[in-house]
Amino acid sequence: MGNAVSNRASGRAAERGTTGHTSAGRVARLGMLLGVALALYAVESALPSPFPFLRIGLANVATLIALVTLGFADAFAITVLRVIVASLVVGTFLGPGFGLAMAGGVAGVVGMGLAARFAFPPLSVVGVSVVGAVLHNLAQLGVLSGFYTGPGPAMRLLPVSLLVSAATGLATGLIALFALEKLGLIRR
Amino acid sequence: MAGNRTLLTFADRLVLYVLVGAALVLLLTGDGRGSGAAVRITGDGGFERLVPLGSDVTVEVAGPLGTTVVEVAAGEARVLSSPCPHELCVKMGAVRAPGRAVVCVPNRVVVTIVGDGPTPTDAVTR
Repeated sequence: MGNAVSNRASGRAAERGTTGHTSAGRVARLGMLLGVALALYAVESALPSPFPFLRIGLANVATLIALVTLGFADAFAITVLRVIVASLVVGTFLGPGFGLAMAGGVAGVVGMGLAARFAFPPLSVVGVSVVGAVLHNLAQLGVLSGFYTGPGPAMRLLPVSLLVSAATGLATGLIALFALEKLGLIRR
Repeated sequence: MAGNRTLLTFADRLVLYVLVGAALVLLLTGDGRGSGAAVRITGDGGFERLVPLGSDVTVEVAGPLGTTVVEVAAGEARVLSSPCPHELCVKMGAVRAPGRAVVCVPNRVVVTIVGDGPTPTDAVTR
């Protein structure tokens, strides 16, 4: 429990120092984290995956770091921009996969924002990450069921999706936790 | 991952346990569905028959050119014989997955697999 409290303290302190005014430092950090998110996205695209819809969500590491160090607004901006820029590069902008990616990204960052705002003391960065992963996948299944396949196949994928999001959320959360520690942004 | 440093808080673990539990419950309760696939055979003049995919039957469908014989066997449906000129429906072979269909346009016979199983994808792009 002690580590969670210190997570929160430093997270809130960073938020206080940056929200409200657009400093050059904040813009620089935003741009850098967006770059990190895109680089992670590219690295992950190169990794082999048994299914095209099964992704670890490495880019979420950048979102998590932004959420903890810069606050929700910046994390949201980084997520939306990442989805747009990545789709422009890959060539899926406004394609069928784009709606899925955007819905998942937005739901994930909103869920993590809420978790960080209201449940960050009990949860650590890892827990927040898992919440984001679950909402990301639920939103994608929702879009899938509403626009593409109907509820049947989406419901069939639901249990698998929950298990996968638990695993991927854990993985990205741990990576973010280690990164934040190495960067000296949280203490345990 | 125990050791003297704990990576996950109690709440983190709780979230993970709830997730895995929910997934397992859904997996176990949802297992009964999916075997209800059927073959819908439609023909000229409003002819329609629904046959369970698991059954072994042949269905004769009367059309403008003659009689098309549809066979449902071993979880598959196929057109056995058809009076149409090219017999494309016969050459299409058997279908088994939901959403797949065999169609005989000249004799107006449509054989479709219906069911709530996963619909196979035609192609995947990344």
